[in-house]
Amino acid sequence: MSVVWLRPATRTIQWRPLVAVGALLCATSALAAGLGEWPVSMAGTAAGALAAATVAGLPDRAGELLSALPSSAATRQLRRLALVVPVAVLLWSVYLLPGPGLPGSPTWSLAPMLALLMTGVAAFTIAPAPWTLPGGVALPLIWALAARVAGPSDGPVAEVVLAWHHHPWPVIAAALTITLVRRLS
Amino acid sequence: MSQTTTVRRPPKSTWAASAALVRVEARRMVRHPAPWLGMLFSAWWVRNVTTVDWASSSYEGFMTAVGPMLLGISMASITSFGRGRTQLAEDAPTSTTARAVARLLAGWPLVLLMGLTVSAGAIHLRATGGVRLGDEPGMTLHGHHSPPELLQPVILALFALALGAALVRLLRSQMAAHVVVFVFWGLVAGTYWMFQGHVAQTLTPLQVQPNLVPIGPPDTDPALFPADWLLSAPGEYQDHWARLVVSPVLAAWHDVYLLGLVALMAGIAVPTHRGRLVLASGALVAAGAVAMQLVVAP
Repeated sequence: MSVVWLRPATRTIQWRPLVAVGALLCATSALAAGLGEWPVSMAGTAAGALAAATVAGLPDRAGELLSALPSSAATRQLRRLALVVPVAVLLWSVYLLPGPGLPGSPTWSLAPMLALLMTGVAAFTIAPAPWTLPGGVALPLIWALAARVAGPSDGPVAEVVLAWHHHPWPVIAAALTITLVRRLS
Repeated sequence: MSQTTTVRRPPKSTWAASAALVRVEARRMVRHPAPWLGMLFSAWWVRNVTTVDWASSSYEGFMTAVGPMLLGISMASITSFGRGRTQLAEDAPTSTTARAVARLLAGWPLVLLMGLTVSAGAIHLRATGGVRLGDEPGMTLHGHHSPPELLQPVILALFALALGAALVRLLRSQMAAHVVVFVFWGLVAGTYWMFQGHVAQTLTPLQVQPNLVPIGPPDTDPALFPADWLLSAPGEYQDHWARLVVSPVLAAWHDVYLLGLVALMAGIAVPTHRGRLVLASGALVAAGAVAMQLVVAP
């Protein structure tokens, strides 16, 4: 399998948001390890921020210029996803690393972060220009913030705003379906 | 008869151009959805705060609920300063300093919005009698925030503006700045209890009172404490009796610290010699105010 696309695809990605958020989250995690106390309820914020930063890396700045190339826009986006998602997963794992040994640490897994990330990718794919990037970045942030703000008294509303945390796999499946249907249509 | 065309020279003073930029950016900031969405989330936060019931849950919750609104203000500021990073902006008839100052001044409607929101909240609490503060037998149902505490969210709105501006300059990416402020305010407001230690409460932008002063082991008879003390009973997160102390003097020095931080961030956002002077004086004020907070803290 040829990987000649690797270098140009890496160069088209905007890494700055992911690097900035990754550094901040790793610093928070190191601080928590140093203090011996896990920041309860920070994990949702971290997941939303990491998902949004990953989506922020997706826009193809040279998209118009490259539209005449044999590789389609969908293929190029898939390649960029294949490059940014593993980095996001790695950063998320590093962020959660000190958690299990600290008091108050939640039992978080990869799935909630992926649910927010795939939701952002779906919004990025279906939102009309010029709202593709703002839509893709804003949705994971708004959803994560809503989950932080929702209280126990919110009932069904809380269930909806916490769906990415409580039922991440159906959310991932739905977002993936929306993305694929939009890309194939 | 030939027609004469008069070409007007650009004004020597940049005041007119700066004032126009303030007006335009102020309008755009007001139209930005983030502060309004933040306000909505803040209202939702307040509603949920009142359903939780422990010694100072409402008193603390009303203060931390401004977090989403501050996030929205920072995001509006980031968008405004992000616009200033375009190539076209370099050809504007004003200097970089004048443009940066104009964009900072353009945030006044959002600071005013925060002021009005806080005032409305304080008036509502006065009208409804106040919030619970303390556990039996040292408890009141008429707790009110002191004026320096109420001033804090307004100065924080200034800080949120300056923070957004500084981040755009440092990170050179609007999107990166947006996501970083999300984490920043999530940490500061969403996990505020992590910063309630003796030193941490002087350094965190959002200082949440009351202070907990340990006064006795869990088996102490609370009737032995002075009757006018507000108490916090031992519980899940606290293995002793504590006295709840609200210090308006500490809050006032924290406000001074925040003004120092505002100057520090504004100094970063304005990349000139004057900006560096503002940055240095802000750092000095902030350092002095931290020292004073440590002196007066209960």
